[in-house]
Amino acid sequence: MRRIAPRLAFLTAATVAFTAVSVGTALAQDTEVDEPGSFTSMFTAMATPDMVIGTDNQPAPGQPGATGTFNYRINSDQEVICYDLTLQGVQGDYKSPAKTATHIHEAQPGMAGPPRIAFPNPAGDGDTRTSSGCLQGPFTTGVMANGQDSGTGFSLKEIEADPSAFFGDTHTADFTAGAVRGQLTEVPMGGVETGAGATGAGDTGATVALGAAGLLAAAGVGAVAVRRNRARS
Amino acid sequence: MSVRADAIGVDEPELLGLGVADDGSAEVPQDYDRVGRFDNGATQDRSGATVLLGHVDSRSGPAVFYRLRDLRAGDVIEVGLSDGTSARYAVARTEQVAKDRFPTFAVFGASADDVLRLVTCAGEFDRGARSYTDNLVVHAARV
Repeated sequence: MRRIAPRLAFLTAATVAFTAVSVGTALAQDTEVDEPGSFTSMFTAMATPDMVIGTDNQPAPGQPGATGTFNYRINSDQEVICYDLTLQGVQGDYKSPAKTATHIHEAQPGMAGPPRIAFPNPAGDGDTRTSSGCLQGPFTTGVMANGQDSGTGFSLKEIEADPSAFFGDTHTADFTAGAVRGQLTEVPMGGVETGAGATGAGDTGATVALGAAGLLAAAGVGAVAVRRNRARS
Repeated sequence: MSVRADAIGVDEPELLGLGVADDGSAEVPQDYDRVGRFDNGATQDRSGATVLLGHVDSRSGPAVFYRLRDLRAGDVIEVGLSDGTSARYAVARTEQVAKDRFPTFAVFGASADDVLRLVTCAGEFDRGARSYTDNLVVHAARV
């Protein structure tokens, strides 16, 4: 239900996108941008061939032995996603009806779903292919669904609200349903607070100790603050 | 799950489950004498990375990962799995990293290989921030 409002808001943009595709112009609305100064969330995905699902929601063969390690950093305030994608053992040419063959799709594990973001395909000699950069929305995929691009109305805040409902994959001519696929999982940001200072170098007096104790006592395993930039549904 | 590293006197029969805190940082054990395992919550996780977090010290003295710094290449760490089996890892390398340049994906990122990553604090204790400046990360690989 949460997609209804954005879809209405982007009706005009969708019309423009449809026109562009229909006249065969490879217009990319998505803009390659510099890395933002900060991020609101980060995600990783271990993509493997056994997780590939066909459009009929049934398991489909991926490329045996291949893997994809997909790392994403998001600034949802700016609608920027930075990506570091590494494929191992993916062979042959890419193939997809979308404008590239490397995507984030929206679907639960074991289900098929539409692409929301299309990334530049990983490239490289030999067994390893990589792709890195940052894209800024609004996003387009080149795939038309219900009369509009499947990226229309999509916001990165939707990934932050429910990362497990999205997966990364890449499609090749030999494995059109996907060579590898993996659901997104959130990773923590910044350093890990694993010390209270008793043995640390420098002044580690009572004031310091009390502060660290307060930091850790807040919740069961140390959760202390309310995230501000989170749109949880 | 459990973890045992004889070289540094760690023998923890039960690991705490840790996730991402509301502020986006890593949850850490509330108990300074316990080790926690980062759980990404995936229902079908294909990543081979196991990430364990433990404190270097408490308010009053050394904590469970105080001697993490003493691990050397080749030292064996044994992780007991939930199915009753165990996996042996050998230390490959140790790195000290500034928290403001923390290598998120090298620690918490997915891995096609079966690897173990142990994290604690290191560096100077910043009194103002009530936090160590650095993290110590030990990387180990399945043997």
